[in-house]
Amino acid sequence: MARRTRPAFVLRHPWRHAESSYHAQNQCVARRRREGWRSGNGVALAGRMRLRPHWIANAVIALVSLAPAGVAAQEDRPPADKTLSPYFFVDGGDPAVDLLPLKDTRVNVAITGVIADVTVRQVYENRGTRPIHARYVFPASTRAAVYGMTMTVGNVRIVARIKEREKAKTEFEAAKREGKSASLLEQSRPNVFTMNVANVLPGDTISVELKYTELLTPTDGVYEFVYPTVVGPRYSETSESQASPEDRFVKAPYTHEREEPRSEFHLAGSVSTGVPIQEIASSTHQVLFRSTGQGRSEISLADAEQFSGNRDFILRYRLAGETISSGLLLYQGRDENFFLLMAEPPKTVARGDIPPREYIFVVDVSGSMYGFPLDTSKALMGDLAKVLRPSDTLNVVVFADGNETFAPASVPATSANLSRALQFIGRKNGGGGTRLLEALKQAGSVPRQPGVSRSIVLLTDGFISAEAEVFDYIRGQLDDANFFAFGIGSSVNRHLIEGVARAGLGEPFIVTEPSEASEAADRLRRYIDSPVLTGIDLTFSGFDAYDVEPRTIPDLFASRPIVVFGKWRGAPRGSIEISGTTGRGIYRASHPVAADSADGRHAALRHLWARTRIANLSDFGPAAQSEARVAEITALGLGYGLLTRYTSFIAVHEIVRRTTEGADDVDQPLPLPAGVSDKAVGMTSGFEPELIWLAAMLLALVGYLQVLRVRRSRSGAVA
Amino acid sequence: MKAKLCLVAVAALVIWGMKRHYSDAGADDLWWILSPTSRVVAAVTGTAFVAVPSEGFVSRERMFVIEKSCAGINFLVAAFGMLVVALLHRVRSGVSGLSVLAVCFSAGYLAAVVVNATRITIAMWLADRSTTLPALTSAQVHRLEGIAVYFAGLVLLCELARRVDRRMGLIGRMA
Repeated sequence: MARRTRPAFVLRHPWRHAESSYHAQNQCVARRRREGWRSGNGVALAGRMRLRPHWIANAVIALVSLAPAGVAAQEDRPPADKTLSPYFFVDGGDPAVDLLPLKDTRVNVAITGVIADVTVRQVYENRGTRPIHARYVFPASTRAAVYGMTMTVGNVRIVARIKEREKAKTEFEAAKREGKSASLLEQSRPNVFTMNVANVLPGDTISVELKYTELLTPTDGVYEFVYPTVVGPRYSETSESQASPEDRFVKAPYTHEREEPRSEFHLAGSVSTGVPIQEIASSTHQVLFRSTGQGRSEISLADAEQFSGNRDFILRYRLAGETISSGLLLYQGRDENFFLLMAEPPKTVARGDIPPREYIFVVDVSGSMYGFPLDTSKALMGDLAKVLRPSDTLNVVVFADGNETFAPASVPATSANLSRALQFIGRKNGGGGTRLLEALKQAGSVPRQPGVSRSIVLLTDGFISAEAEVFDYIRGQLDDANFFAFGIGSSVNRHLIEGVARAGLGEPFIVTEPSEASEAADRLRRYIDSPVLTGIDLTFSGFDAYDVEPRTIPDLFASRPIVVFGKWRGAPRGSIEISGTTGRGIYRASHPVAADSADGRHAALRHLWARTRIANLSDFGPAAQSEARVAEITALGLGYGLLTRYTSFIAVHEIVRRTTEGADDVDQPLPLPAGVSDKAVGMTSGFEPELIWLAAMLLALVGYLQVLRVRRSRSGAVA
Repeated sequence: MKAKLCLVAVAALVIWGMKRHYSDAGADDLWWILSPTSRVVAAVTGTAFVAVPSEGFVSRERMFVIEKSCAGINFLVAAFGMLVVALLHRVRSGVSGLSVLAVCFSAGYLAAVVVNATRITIAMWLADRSTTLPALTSAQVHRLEGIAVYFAGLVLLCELARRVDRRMGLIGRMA
């Protein structure tokens, strides 16, 4: 008789009487089948049918398990107060709601001389069957002066008005409730804006167009136009309930790493310099260039870049003969006149007697730096180490949630110490939060060596939301150190990088890929060793200038023009004199004011002056703003029609379009910047599979056991 | 028969109660299961988790949070229900019914902690490597991993319950 192999897995129904042997059970099962389920404990249902207790148990427990728990939930429970943080977008859900209302962003750039005029058109559509209110967080240049917005609903075009932030918000909420289509543009940071579009009805196409202008200032003869396309996920320790309206953008949905952006991105425009363009290129996108005359080129993104809105668009160009556009521009307005002076800097002179310096590198190793950004950072550190002299000293502070210092006191920059420092950084892989302020304080607490100038060099992507607190701290340390900031990555927070440099009287650098690291390191060394111009002073002779910005001009490290905005009255005559100290000695340059400098095409100066003033008052100013300062910024925003942290653009279509009750709030998901890992989006949560999956598992388990049982009982019956 | 029906009713009530508690609860209310789970995960992975009120157990070093949605309540519900059905035949009276209920809940709780901790440990390992599969996002990979671990956990628990049940039956018969 052939021996039957006992299966490794459960063949019997688990709730069969356990005392029955395998063979006995087979017989038992077979007998029961023959008896037509008449034996055993059961409840007679209808004639021959009986319900067994485990069937009842299965059914009851399955029903209770799968019944929605929400019916028992207490609706009045207050939501838990969580830390403000970005989160991952969950696709799917209710097909009636269009979760991706932003379909398209089209950017048109017109660069004339040193001024870029940019038009951004965002198209929102609702392909669902329920009305929605869309919210989209998007970036812009840190220097953007946003001066206009229009909304188009069908064939109706509405010009937005600038209003105080609170009033605009109230008006928008009212329109939203009443069923009117409306759009509200608010500033969250100088380079982060939030667009709200209310009542996008099913089948609607609503386009919102905003306009901004900015000044392009060349560095080392290279002009750079940057159009950021995505706001990186920010680390915040603020709780949701305590977050200010400006901080709420942090709580935004993000798609996962390497996922393509969900909306299209198009960019086109023209560059008109007046001087032949020697070189023009983009290192970030495929761009088609078409020369349309001397000093004029048309640009457009290649078709392959349709979904490239996950990294900054950077366009760089150089004029023939390394010249830069410099001189005086005047604009004669109805009520006020404005001027812009771009003064060519003196030639850099390398100093022979360079005193030793102490360098403290503060390196971000948080989750958002994981992978490509941290690799770039390590490459940059290697290059920075090479430009130090043995007479210099160095130290390293790495930070994420906490921070760690390479040495208790800075050590000489010998090759052995440099190698150890690089190994110290090399061991970090990226993970955790971004507690930058604590790291800067740690760097500041490293014991000082008397008579040695200190430079603190920050390497980060800048993905934090507490920029103002960092600027405050740096301003308080100016007697002790200069601060230089390197932004690492494809879409860094330029507001933080530029703000650190500005508050710390240093220079900002952006490194988007490892190949740029070496040159950036060289520039840092050059800038620190040989500033272009220090002790800069400005005098006006015979020219009645007032409200001049900036009020004091910081030392000039890089070879870039000195930029001065201001207002003027009376006749355009006299001169503007710039003085300072270079490596050769005293420097003086006089710039005559001529009537022919005035041109009606320079109208952008009005906005640029106001934006510069607002930037000096607000962008890099203290975290706590005084009432007088708030009033001044608000007045500037309203008076010059500019978006500020206290003024917003609002457009309302004065027709009630939504007549049904209710609409869904939809936050447009943002792509993670290229090269940034999922670790940047707050915490990963190990959510468990939903109960429906577990029910499916149990069903599969029970079904499998039943099949085996039936097979076995059949084979038993045959035997 | 009556005792068995009573047990089914009480088990259903317990499941409903757990679900209600889960739907209403914040992370603070689920300390009774989040805390042991995070301890097991911490012991296995060597990661320090810090209790953060209203959020759960947080590892800032690994950027991982064991929060409400990771509590393992769904597994506990499934495991408890499965065990009740499996051991229903042992109910002869009210007392034995209560014993079965207590055994089922304790075993379900223990299994939920162990299986869920295993699931989270693997999830952390996958998250560290930013694991994705072709045509699957990391969230989908995470869900698949959870389903696989939970299924394996339920199968093992089912087999374990059957063996223990059988052994107890043999012991009872010998006695």
